[in-house]
Amino acid sequence: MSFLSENLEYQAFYQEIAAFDKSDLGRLLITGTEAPDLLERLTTNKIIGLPLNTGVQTVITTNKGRIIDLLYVYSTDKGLLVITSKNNQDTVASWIDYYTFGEDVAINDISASTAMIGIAGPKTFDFLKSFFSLDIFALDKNELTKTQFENIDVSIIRSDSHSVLGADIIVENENQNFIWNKIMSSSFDIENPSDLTLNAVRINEGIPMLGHELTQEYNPLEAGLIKSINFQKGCYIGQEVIARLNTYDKVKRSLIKIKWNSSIPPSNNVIVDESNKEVGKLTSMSVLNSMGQCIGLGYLNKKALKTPSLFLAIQKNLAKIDIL
Amino acid sequence: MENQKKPLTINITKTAAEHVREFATSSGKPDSSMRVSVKGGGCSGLTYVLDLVETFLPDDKIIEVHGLKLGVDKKSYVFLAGTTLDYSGGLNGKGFVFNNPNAKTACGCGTSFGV
Repeated sequence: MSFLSENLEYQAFYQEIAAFDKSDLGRLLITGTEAPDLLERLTTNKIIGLPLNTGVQTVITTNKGRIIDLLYVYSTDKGLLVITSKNNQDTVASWIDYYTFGEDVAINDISASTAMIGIAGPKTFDFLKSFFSLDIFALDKNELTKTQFENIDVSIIRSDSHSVLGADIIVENENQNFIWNKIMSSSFDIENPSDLTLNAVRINEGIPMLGHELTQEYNPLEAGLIKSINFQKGCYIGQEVIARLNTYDKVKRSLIKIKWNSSIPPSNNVIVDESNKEVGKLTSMSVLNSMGQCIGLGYLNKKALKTPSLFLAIQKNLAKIDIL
Repeated sequence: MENQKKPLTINITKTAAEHVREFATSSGKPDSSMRVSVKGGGCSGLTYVLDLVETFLPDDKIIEVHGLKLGVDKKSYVFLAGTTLDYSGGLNGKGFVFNNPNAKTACGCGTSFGV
């Protein structure tokens, strides 16, 4: 049972339906016959042979195996649709372009010309079935389908992006308001969560975020992204380092989810042990005012995982933290 | 005498040129030339690519060394200028070897490099 799932403030995600704008995620349409091969060489997961209308989570890494971004790559009839982190499409496009040497590849930034609406919660499929007047609605995780809504082309991806059942709806930008208003005026009880709520759910579900948990300070193994790595596919940028870390069990830090009994943010982001020795770093946090608690994500030295007591400094005191 | 900087180019040793010709002949393409390029990927970021070609691409820079024509595309040339292509033979040899002054890192197997 998830820590927040019983809290009324978050019930849209855990009991009903939430709808929210995700248009600030970057969207690149990468076309050309060599696009899958190029992304296969630049990211951690298998891209070649990705079946049509399916997707995969993959990490774009430096040659030291550090994270540039966590991507979602979908095979569509128009090319590879690459979803980047928030407003990170330029960085990803530049990286891909730098490593393109005459291949048949074109990078089209469709972030501004399209919009993305997230739907999440256990009743997502019921809603989509009703909203799009479909007899059956079911998608596997990372599966994509296309349909129409009042003559508007709509792509629907089952993303489960908040680790609960969820889908992303992609439409041309000009149709965003129309679709959004229709969603919010449907017969379903749909909540539009605030950014604070979205962040709390993200942290509660242990989802890493660019600039916080996803930076060039960390590698995908530390960030808990082992499912995004294909260890059989062969070389990609950073592969040698990542394979060695995994083979010889040299991963030194782990992404952890924590909580502490205070609604006051810590004075700094340093996690210490009983001897006040730094053993980790807080990277994201959310104040749960209604619960008088905070939750956070951070990196902890693996050796400290069995440490009985860990602390964060809050004002002049040390607050004990619990690993969730 | 004033020191003069030699223009950066791509060189190939006589041994390597002979091996390219041998390979071209055994591949049934004795009159072919060689295209040298770089592509993204490999553990360190960039990998070397050698191809036997009948003709070069219009924008290729063409260099002739030891009677062998080498073609390099402009973007690859940025990463390859100053490189000498050598050949390491014998039972424990590595085959064609790139001595690239631009390479600051290389992967363990030596097939990719970073700048």
